[in-house]
Amino acid sequence: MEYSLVGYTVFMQLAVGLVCAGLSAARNGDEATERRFLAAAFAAGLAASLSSFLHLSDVFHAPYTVTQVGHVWMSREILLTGLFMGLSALRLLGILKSRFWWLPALCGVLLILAMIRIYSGNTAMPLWNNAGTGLSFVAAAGLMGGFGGAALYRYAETGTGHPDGRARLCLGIGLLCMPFAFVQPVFWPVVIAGEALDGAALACLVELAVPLSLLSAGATAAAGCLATVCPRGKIAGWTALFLVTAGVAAGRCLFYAASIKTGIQFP
Amino acid sequence: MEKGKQLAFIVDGTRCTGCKACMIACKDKHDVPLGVFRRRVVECVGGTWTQHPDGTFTQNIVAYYVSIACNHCENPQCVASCPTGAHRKDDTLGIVYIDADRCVGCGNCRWNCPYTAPQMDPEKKHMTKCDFCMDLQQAGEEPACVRACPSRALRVGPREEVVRRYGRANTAPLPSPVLTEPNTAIIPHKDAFPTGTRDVTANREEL
Repeated sequence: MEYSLVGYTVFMQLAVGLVCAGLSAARNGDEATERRFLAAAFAAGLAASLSSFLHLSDVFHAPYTVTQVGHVWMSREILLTGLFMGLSALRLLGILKSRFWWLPALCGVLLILAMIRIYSGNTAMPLWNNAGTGLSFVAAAGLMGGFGGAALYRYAETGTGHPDGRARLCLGIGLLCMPFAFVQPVFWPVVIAGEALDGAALACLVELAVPLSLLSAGATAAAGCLATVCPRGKIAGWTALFLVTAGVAAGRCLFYAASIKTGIQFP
Repeated sequence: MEKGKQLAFIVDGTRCTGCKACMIACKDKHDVPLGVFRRRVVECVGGTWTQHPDGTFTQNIVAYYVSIACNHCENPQCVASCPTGAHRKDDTLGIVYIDADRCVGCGNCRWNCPYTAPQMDPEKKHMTKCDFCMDLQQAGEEPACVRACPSRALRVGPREEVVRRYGRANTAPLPSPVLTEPNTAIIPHKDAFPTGTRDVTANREEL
């Protein structure tokens, strides 16, 4: 199991989702809230980057990974990761001017597209080599970014004790993305039907129950985030983000395992 | 063996006895550590038995072997997906090889190769795979696995001639040759399953 890759993918999707969710604050010149988003995204991106280094056997050869940007999607992904982190840091420190508020988000979206292309372009993996990969990666970023955005907007609000429209919008986007965050359309018939034929349907359902339960608990906590007054609403928001992130990570682990089982035809 | 020509492997399924001398010769020649295989011999099995009303049984049990390494494909996905440029295809001999001084060990080549030929060498800390015994070829000699085959089931021949005569490897458990155009031909065992037949590998743990 490639846990480091799961870590990189999930944390980077979270980071990009957070930067995109913070666009509303950035556009309106609410720099304090924008900084919170950028700081959270940078922390998630840092966790993703560290996780990706664990995946490498010889980190001293890492500089070579950006030498093939002309034709290899993984090189592009690595370059865009560096750019995304750099631009987020520059904006966080105030070095990148406020009129470029959109630049880290654009870089993040391109990074997600590169990530999708790496997986969906792999002809040896039927579960990846389809449009569902793109859907699930975008949905994962939307889910985690949406829930993270709701928590951060909830944190930023003052006085009223009730969530403003931005938190509601973020949660709505997150909930909309939830069904597609790790389960691709081809996943159910290929994997679950296959497992059922092998007599392992129960084990498969138990494995699936873990991420689905975490996502459901996250959705429940999100409802609490909107319903309760401060400070419980804020705590519920962070709890919801933690639960959905864990749910996406567990789902992604399951998806990697299923891909290995059904993908490589040899041996 | 003629020097300087692009070669292809020929795996004769009608001759292979599954002795695995090719695997061992490769490990010996390249000092490959335990658990890593540049060449693998897959034991393929299938078929079943049927009981008839009169109490008798008939069976259609099948067993055959496929010796497989890197196929030095025409369209190598490992080269196309390597982010460091460590995977290269030699212009002269057509050999796909790994430049260890550039390999970062990310394993993307392994994910993308439908034959899972590249493998991580935990001692050298980079990916490793069959290099078609490039050094022996340059000296005009056959690869170690070919020399070791006692039944001459594993051979090499000029690429164009091999592909024209036998086509490209299209026997289960190998994937469709359309994906990468492997420079390996298989003369199939008479009972061999076609490409795409699943769950025929009997020695999965060994590979």
